[in-house]
Amino acid sequence: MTRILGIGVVTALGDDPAAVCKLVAGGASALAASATLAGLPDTRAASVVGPDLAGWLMRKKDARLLARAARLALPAAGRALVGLPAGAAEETAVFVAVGREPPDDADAEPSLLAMERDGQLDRDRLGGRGRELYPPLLPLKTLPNMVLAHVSIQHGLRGENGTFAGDAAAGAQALRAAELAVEEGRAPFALAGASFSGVDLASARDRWRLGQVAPPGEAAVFVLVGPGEPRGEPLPWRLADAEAWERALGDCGPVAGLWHLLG
Amino acid sequence: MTERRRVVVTAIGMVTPLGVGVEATWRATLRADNGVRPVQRFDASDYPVRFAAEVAVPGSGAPLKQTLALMALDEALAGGAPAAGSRLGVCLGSEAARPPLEWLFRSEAPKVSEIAALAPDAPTRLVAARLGATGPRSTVSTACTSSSQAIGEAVLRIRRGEVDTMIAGGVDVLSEPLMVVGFSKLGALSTRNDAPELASRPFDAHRDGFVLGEGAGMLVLEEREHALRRGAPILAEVTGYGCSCNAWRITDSPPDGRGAAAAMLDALHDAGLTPADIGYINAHGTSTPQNDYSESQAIHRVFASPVPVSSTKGQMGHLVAACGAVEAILCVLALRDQQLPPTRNLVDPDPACGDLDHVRIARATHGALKHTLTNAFGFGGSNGSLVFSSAEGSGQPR
Repeated sequence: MTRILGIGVVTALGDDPAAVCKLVAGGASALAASATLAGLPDTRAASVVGPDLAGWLMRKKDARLLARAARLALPAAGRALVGLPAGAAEETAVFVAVGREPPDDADAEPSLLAMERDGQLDRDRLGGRGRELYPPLLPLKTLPNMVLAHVSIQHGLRGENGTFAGDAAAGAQALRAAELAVEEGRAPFALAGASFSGVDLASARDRWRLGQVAPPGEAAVFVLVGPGEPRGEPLPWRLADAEAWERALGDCGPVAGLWHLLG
Repeated sequence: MTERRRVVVTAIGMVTPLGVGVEATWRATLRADNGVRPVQRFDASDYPVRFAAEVAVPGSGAPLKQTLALMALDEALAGGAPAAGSRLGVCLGSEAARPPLEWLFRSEAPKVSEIAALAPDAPTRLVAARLGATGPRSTVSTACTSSSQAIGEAVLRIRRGEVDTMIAGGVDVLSEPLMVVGFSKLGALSTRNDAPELASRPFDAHRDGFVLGEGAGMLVLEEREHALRRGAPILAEVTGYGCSCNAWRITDSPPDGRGAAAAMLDALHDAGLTPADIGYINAHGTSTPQNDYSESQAIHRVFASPVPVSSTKGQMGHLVAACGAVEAILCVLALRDQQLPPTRNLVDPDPACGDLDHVRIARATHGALKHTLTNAFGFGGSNGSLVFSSAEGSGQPR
């Protein structure tokens, strides 16, 4: 048996799990017009302000390596790990769910602009000036497993691990993998979480084309799983209702597979 | 205490820069053939790196990924498809495909199918749909460790009794303009443009980076009794899986190899074996100065006496999300044929890597090879190791 020993969240409705739950249950919504999505038929999004990484990043220079999903994940994972016993990090497992990592347009923009001639991609410029301006660390920023990498590095987690990619099911898979790692004795503790940001123009445009009309959101939820009897009562149905969460916080991809934990 | 359900490999399929199909790739690997050539897919003449290990299959990007996944799957299923339904699952290692650069500049919108194909789990969904697999379905995206962890995840699901059969593997396509630009800017790629055939040289003193490769590998994994009941050929048994995080740095591996060593020790422990039982290590061996040094230190930490080691990336470059699956298949074939594949281009072993028993030409083991270990280590510090054991003892060896 396993129980949840700690939880950390970063959402557009705040960072306190109980308060976020209450707000969602009360019908609150963080959806608002986003300048980032200007030009799309619906510019609403649920954006997180910040997050403030002070205290969650050992080396300030690592901030340049953090894509949005990793930025959201660090405080959420850090809060979930507060109760981790001293010395236990070495064998603690970590399982993370991510969505499709959008390209970091802001970083790559000068390079992309340099590849263009008369509104078309100029392959000569791609191999020339475009390449010269391409940010050298961008591949390391946008790889999907970088959320896991940054969380494990910041907290010294060296146990079993995995990054699951996909929609809400991936979040649930990360949680189940963590529970099983503890239940089956492969790790004394396991961190499970999901982190996602869909509030960028390229992702939002693709979502529209795919017919995904729910406004985009961004969030991270992490829990620390350890041995013990589960506590608490089953959640009221409305808190596990994916649509209620979507109305409040937008489409948060794999994080939706973990919303029910906030109760 | 109930006995653990055992997991066996009953079919394999792969497409690599060395050939289409298992036997073509295996023969070329044993001969230490070269799969690295000047880039054919696009004009790379102005790029700092102008070569790659490309597959000889038309296409590019996400559509090519899907083609490769289905080609490897079809080969694995040539002897018959597993029964559809909820006792069949799929777990693949795969990363999101990058939108083609042209999309950023063209006026018309991409088609829905084009966008959907970019998703990291697109190959997994495709394979599950092709097979009518309604059991567990997951996609692991842990860079170079992806398909090694996908196989591990599949093994755990079979052991727990969630399913009887899993399709496990991985796919990746890397010879793309932005990949070449990105990884060359990172300084991770070999720049040996004057002699691409010599560029991938794991553990060699003159190695200067990895070579972008691509391909797909698929394994049909089954619970042993299930396989025996249906008379399936048993190629090998997956006896051990271990993984770890380095928790070190994003950009490199710890020089003492401790994270990699932990993964290998976990896999050995899981298999109930000692280091002395392992007869061959298929190293991650990317041909980067850091990886090969760090991995060699890890091997020294785990193995007190030298074990035959090779990295088949010398022949076929680095298949990233697919490398774990393809190299797992090579371990299965090594057990089947009692042949150890060599490391191509290993001319001057790096003394800094210590005294490793490098396999430099294919080596016959005459029935002595019982257990193999394969490593996969990813950017960001995820490590995965798998142990494969001979079909002997699993019944019905092929």
